[in-house]
Amino acid sequence: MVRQYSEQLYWQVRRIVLVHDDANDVLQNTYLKAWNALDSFHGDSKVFTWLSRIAINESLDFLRRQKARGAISADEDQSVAATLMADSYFDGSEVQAQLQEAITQLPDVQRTVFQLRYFDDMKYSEMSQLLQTSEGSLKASYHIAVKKISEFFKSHD
Amino acid sequence: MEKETIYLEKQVGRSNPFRVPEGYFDSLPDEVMKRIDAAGAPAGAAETVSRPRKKARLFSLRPVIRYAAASVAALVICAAVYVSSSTSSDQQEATAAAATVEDASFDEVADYVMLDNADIYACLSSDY
Repeated sequence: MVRQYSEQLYWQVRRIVLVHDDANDVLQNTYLKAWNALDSFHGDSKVFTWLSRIAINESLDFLRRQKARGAISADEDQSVAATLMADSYFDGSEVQAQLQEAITQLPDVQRTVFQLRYFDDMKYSEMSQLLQTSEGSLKASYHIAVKKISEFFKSHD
Repeated sequence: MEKETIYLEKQVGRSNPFRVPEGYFDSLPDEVMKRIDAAGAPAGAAETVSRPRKKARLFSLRPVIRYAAASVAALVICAAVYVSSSTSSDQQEATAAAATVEDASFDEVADYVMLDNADIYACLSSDY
């Protein structure tokens, strides 16, 4: 299970938490939680969907704990792009770093939906199973997220 | 595709700008297992990880079922051979006899091994 799904899960987590060490911790906690919750998996969804749900919840919980500790403030959010450019495990351009900064400013649901749709090209039907939200709501979330990010770039041009 | 998505694609593309340390995914399964071992088995893991087992039987029914089915099949084949080698008038009697044997034999075998329908269904549907 770890070998089969770890890479896909890792990238879902990494895109939310941004830093490799944090993503590694969250991913390992995901598998630990999955191991402890095996009896609650009744096969009513695919294994990957179930794991993915745990991974995304763990990632968002991680961000909330960070915010609660004051590790991320509104001011620090402005320097997300700068932090990424200085990260040795970030190979992107400044524009890509700015995209990540724009994404961090989205509410959790829009952020997750945007990541899954834009980078993973996940179908809304799959996303609906994963996030247990209606396809209509997901489409609306994605549309709003894309609009906000586009406005971010236009305002920074 | 909506125009804002097209705009974003032109601005930043969809490539993955993140990297991982070399060999990270190769060593990840071992790291995960170490962490799980360090955390200890969850409460009731023995019961939760393995599939629930049926109550242990004194003896395995499946070989007995196979033996019974083989016996019935042998009887039916013998009856069929007997029937095909007989004359037409004899055939009628033999056919009736074979049908009687066929009907009775399975019941007799089932009675002999003391099986009822519930046992048979349970045995055939269980995993061995």
